[in-house]
Amino acid sequence: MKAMRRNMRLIVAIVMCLFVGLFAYFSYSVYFYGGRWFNNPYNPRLNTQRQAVRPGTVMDRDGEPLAFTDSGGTRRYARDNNTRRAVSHVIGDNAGNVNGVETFHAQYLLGFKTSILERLAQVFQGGERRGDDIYLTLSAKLNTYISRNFPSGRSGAVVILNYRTGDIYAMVSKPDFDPNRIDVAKREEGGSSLLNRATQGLYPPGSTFKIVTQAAALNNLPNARSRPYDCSGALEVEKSVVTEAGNNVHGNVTLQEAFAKSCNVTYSQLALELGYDRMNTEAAAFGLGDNFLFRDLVVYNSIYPTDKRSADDLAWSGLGQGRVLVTPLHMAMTAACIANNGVMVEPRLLRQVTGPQGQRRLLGAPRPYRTALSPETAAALRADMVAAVSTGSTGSGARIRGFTVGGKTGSAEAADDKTIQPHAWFVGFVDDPNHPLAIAVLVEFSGSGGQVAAPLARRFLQRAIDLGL
Amino acid sequence: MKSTKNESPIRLLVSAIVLFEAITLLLIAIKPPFLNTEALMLAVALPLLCWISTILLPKFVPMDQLLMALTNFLCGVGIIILYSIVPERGLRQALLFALGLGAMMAGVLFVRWIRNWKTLCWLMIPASIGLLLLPIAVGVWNNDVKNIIAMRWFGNFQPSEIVKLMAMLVLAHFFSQRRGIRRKLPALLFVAACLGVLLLQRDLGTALMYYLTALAMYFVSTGNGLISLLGLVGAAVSAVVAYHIPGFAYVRVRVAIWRNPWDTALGSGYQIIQALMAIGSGGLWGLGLGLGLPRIIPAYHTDFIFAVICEQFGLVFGVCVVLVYVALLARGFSIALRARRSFYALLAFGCTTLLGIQTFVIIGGVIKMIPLTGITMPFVSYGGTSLVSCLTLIGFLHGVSARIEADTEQDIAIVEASEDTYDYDYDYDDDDDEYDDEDDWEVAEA
Repeated sequence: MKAMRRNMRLIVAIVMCLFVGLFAYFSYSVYFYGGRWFNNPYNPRLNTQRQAVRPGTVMDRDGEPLAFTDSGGTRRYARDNNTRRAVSHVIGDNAGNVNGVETFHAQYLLGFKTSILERLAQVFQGGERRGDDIYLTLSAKLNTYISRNFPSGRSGAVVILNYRTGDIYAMVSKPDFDPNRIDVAKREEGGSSLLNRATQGLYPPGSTFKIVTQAAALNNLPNARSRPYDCSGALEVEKSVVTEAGNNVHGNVTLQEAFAKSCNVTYSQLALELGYDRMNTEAAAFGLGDNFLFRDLVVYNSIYPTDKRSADDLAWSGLGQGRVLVTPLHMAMTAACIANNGVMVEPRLLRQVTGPQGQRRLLGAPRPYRTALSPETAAALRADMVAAVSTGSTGSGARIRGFTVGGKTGSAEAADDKTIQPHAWFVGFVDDPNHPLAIAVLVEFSGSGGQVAAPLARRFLQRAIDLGL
Repeated sequence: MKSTKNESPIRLLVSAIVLFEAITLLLIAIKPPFLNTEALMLAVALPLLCWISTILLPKFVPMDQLLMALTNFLCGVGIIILYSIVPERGLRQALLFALGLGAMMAGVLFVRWIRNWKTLCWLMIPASIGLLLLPIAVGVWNNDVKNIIAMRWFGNFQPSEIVKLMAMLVLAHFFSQRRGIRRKLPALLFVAACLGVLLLQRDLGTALMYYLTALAMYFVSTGNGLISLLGLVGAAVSAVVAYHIPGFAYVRVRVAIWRNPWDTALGSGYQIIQALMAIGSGGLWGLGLGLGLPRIIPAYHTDFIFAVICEQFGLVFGVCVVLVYVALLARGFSIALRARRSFYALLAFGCTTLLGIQTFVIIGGVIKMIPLTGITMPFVSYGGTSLVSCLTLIGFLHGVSARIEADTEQDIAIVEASEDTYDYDYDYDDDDDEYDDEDDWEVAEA
């Protein structure tokens, strides 16, 4: 019996551990995912609540209504045609086709955050139940400007955010759609215009990823700055050859020159020298492979390959090709992190939420998402990126008179067929305490980043500065 | 029974449960548009049932009051939730609860007074196998599983729930035999046969429960860690095999859903996603009794009732419900640890472990911690056979607890009667030499 009791205690301990695990998992998953479970387009409760509550208004940072419910109870979107389309992906629709603010923040709009006292106040005042109003960080004017000046007929995305607070000023995805005629959008090309390319489009980052490779080199190789790099125009790996854009030969270059000239050979060599582990550690520091659980919006996870497939794969990953995939928003965050001394701030979309009686909801302060770099490395990279724009040939299109702009271009091969143009990328920032702007521009299948994306970034940033952002 | 010291906390607990049941049901009763007399009656009947079973009955039948109170709470939550969604189901569940209390009484008396388990156990083995085979012969398929017999006047009947009870007795009996594998062999063969039949029914969830409980009982009785560990590895291997053979294709589907239900949100992942959304919708304090959209969740009244509880009463309450289960298990285990004879210890231990595994597997499945297995949530889920059999398991625990008290009283009587001639080798009136109990005096000594 003695032995039996001892054995029993062991099993009892195991069973109790199972339940402790159950509690731990339950708390963890509800804390991190509970909101996502609720605010999702499949949740029929949202539609039920819409019958009982008059949903709140969604406004941009200046108070311009982007989505509201009229007196007849119909949900309406921005009156201006261009504005409506420019913010279509951020706002989404309330039928769950696009997971925008209308769905992801339905808990506010539909009054699920209303406290019992507020409910009572509403009952005594009479009238219908109202949801909360939302002020976004977005600037409708900037979005509309970007949307109108985006190369017509092209697909892509533009994100502009404040690198200190993470406030998203603009998030445009092309092609866009008209929320008033969503059925048309759903029919056309299998509804591809409904995809928010800024947060859900996974693209090879191309040379913009050299920011990460550069950071890995600076952090791991003590002589990375001092030693010379020799570019012969081509680097044979095991099965493939890394070549330069336009078959250039850069010759002897410093690391900063290699960055400004976007030398493929140098960065594939660096990736090979660093190896998968150190490259992956650096990529992870920038948030690749992480499960983004931002409070304000859903962002697809970026990918850096971790299975150590081949030397070719490793070499190509150093210049953002192969199996590296990122979203435009994440690249904007990467540029923002360089400008913000290595601290990547969580992107934010909600500026303020107001209850029906005017009371403000607590949203919490801007929150650092992760520290990707030490301030020293960030400063070095900032200098490299500024040089790439001010002195380099690739980023020169992004220069703005009177401001220090840093950036990196990218021309990401997305097809094996060489006749198809690459995706044009530009990621960068304005190094200015009054205009802490970071940007990512992506234009699908349109040519080189320097020629297509950098000039667009200049115009969009200029406009943002003009608007006082 | 005689523990006056524990009387007042128990009364407090019972009052709280009675109050909870009465208030919630009154709330349903006065819900517009009209006064619901049926709910009003239930608001009287259910607290009355709770009072009778926790305060009144223990005066006549030896029972553990704390265990009874916790059980009452869980059953009450089930009945209230079911009544708020579908009144007929709540009423039927309440009737079955009353019936189950009867079965529980039978279980108490059974364990307390039966002396000769040997013949009974040998009789129960063929009876169990026969019962388990029934659904294969005349049963109906229910979500890839064939474990239910549909009867016109009785509703659905799930034999594996009844066999559960017999299995506990049979396993406790054979595993408590003196050391030696030969004596334990019948139990091992019996478990193997049960598992075989359950696999034929494709009822992997129940098979898993039986197997893990039997394994735990085996380990406790023999202390053979190596073989028990091998048994655990064997279970894992057979799970992997089941994953790969076409006969259990649904296993693969379940695992895929568990890994990512959102890809098939409108297809196979629908169930679990609806459950998660219900949990997420409730928030900390719930939407309120009868509110929300519980009927959206498939199987809301059986497998997914935990999600409904979380939606209506909130996460805090959901956690409390799990805590009540943990308290119930702790009580059951403490009875097992206090038992004097290995048969009773094993019986109490087996019953508690079974309830624990069942609770963990279903709640873990609903919150997507482990792949979902379609079994009921003990005491709460809608389902007659399950409720009755779980209550009978509690009856067994009461029975064992009663034996302990009877033995202790006997000890005290003996010690008082013959202070100086106390004999450690005293044989209890019905001590069976077959049992492995040579040291059961050590508790008396302590």
